Amino acid sequence: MLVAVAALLVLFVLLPVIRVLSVPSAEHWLAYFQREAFVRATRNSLLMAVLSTSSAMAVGFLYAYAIVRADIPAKGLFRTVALLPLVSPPFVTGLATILLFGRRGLITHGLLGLTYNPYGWHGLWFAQTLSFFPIAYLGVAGVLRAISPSLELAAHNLGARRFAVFRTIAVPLATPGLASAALLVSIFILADFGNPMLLGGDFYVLATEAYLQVIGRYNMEMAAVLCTVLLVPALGFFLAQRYWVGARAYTTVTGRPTGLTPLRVSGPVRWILFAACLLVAMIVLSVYLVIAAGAFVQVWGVDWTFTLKNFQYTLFRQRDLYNSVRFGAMAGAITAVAATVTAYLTQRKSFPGRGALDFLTLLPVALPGTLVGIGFVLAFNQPPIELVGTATIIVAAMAVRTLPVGYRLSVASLHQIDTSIEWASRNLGASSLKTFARIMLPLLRYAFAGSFIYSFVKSINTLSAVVFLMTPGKVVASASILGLADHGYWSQATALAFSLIAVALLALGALRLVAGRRVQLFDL
Amino acid sequence: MTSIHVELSGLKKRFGDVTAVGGVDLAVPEGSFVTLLGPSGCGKTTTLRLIAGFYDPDEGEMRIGGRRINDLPPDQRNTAMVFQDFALFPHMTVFENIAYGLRMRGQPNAEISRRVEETARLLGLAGMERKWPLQLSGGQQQRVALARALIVEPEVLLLDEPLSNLDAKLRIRVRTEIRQIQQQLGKTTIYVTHDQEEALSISDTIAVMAAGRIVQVGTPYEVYYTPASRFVADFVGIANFVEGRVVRDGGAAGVEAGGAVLEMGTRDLRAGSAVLLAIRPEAVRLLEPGVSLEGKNVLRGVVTASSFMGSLARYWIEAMGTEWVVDVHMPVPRKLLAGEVVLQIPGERIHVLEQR
Repeated sequence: MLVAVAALLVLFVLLPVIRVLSVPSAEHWLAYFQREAFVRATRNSLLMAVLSTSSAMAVGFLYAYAIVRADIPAKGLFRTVALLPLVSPPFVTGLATILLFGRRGLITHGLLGLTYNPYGWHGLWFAQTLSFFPIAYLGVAGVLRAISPSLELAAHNLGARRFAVFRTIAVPLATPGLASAALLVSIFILADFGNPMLLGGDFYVLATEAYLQVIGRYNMEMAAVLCTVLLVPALGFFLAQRYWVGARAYTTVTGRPTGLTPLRVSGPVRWILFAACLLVAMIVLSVYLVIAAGAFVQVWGVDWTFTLKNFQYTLFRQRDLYNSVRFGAMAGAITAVAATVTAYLTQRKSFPGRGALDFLTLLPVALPGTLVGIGFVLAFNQPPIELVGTATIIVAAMAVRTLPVGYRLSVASLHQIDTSIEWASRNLGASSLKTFARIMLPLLRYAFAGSFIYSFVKSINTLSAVVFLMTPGKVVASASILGLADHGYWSQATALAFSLIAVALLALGALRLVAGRRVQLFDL
Repeated sequence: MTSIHVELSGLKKRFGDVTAVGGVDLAVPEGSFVTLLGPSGCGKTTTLRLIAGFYDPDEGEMRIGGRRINDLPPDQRNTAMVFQDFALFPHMTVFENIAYGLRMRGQPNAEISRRVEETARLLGLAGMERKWPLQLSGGQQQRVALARALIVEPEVLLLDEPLSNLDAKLRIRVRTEIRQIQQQLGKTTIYVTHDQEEALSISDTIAVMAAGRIVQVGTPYEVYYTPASRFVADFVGIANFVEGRVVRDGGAAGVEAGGAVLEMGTRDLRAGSAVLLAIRPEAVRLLEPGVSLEGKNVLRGVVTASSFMGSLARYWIEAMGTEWVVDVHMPVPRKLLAGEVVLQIPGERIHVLEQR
């Protein structure tokens, strides 16, 4: 079992990275530093990461603070709204931005009669903030919940006023966790491909520049250079998260539930927070309403009559959605099995290289999708392993990208199962393998289901990796939405996006039916 | 007569449909140590949190030094609390933890340093000021929590089960220290615990709580030897309960129970009424079998189980048609009684719980 897992990880995680790093020669690197376009793309990537991470963190913090610490109405609605960007492709926000603010935009053109151009850094900034604030929100909410309420009450009890409590207790305790959340958000924003593709205009970032090199110039080596540049900050953030922030986080969980309610914010602050949440929620909702509306009208901005014909095209004429679901389900199954087995191995067995296995399983978090896609092409385009053009390579890329989260779910679930339960089984005469099958697997079934659904949802939404791996007949919905939008087929693009989101929500609903509230994929 | 320092009257608090505190009246004299004692869910911790201001009462009044505090926010009540989980700030050193309250009161740095040093010395924490809370043992963390609360010179010191996170031996030592420091400073203190032994050993006054109400207030002696109800007798220590009927009243009162008559000396009893008696396990004398059954309140019994507990031996004995718990202190080495035994119950040690 161990050998198989290790071999697969080396083959599908390590090998593509090594290929990307080793393919370019010195002259390609020279070209990178000399060509202004590449330097600009690098600068743009970093600029966008800094801008959007800051704004996403600000919005996420407001949102989290309001939901965790303030008695505001409609919390359920706010939580659900934050879920939407997490389960739909990030470029849905970009698509909606164009439909709202573009040349035929509902708000700019329709309502205000303006000719506003959303293409460029500002439109992209807006879309990235909306797409990724829920990740910031989840991180911050987790941090805020982990602060034991008795600490703040103790400070208040010792004479600190509310704001002093916030300043001297909440902020310093939350800082390591906030830094960690910000790093995670910035990794996502740096690596995002869909929104810069849709909205960037002539604002190229590393991911889109690499795509151009591959698709436009067939220059895999140059694309590999750009991916490597993209990998440096992402890997840096990943390592910082793993070794620096992780070690500094304050463990404030004292184990004993105190039954104390955390210090709530006061009246006026509460309403300010509520208003801010409401504004954010309205904007997010408008994104999805626009997608829904676009899917059901004849021609966006021209002919607003209701129609179902857009679905005819997306659902029946094309196999894209079917491909997405099929590949996503296969990737989900592989991720769930691999995650469960790997987690069991790293958490419950001791063997040389355990730390390395854990590292390799989590590493894909730091790998930009573009790098995975290009790495797969480079690694599997020739014998002995020739996979380019098959469905296998697409499924493998999807599985690799979602493995870390599935692994974390399984690890968390394993931590809930006391080792003595396993000892009891061994003690009563069951072998190691029997114990795994009869005791651990049934106890891990909800984590298994959770990994499956998470991987499925993320896989049908992924774009940046699979865009390099598709061949005619194996096109997936996310890529075809981008293509449709690129050519101005807004109605078909939105109809397909709408269907994709519907499939994701159905999958989440199915998980809720099977596992109830026992698995929280997105700890809202 | 010392003056009343903390006064609760008609205090009520509901959480949804659950009444956590259902009308508590309590007067805490200046400088005294009062313990709220009761099983979990009796409302003792809620009462403490009401005093600290973490919850707002639904009804009733709270006064400290005659001043109504109901509407004061927690930070202005000066009711420093020691939390069950200590709630030490993990991002601050021991020094900064202790100094926290003074900083919030805007004291000058020199004054803070002087007072922290003084308080650390009082609690045996000298030399640990630069350490972080997580580097300390449980007992040391406890002292930091106490130092942090004492340094602000609170009107009243609140302690919420402060010993429950310590191991058994340390618990006994720390509770003695808490009591010594409290007496040394003369600090009005309200202490919450579910541990009856802790309450008996540490308090000037115990208020026993059940189901959101105070059912008895008294000194540890009063609560132990003259419990007001079957609940108190059962919760505070162990008690043998005997139901009987008064057959003689006046100067030589007698109660008939289980076929025997217990002589109880001079008691205020009415002949013919039903009574419930409570007898502590250590009040019963256990005699070797074969001792003559002459004398008052001597019963025959059979040992059903026994347990040697070091300084005492505990017996479960069938007598008068009921099971008795009898403790023998300083048990004879290497010898536990078995089979038939004889019990003797001194009449003056029988407590009448109820008379109907």
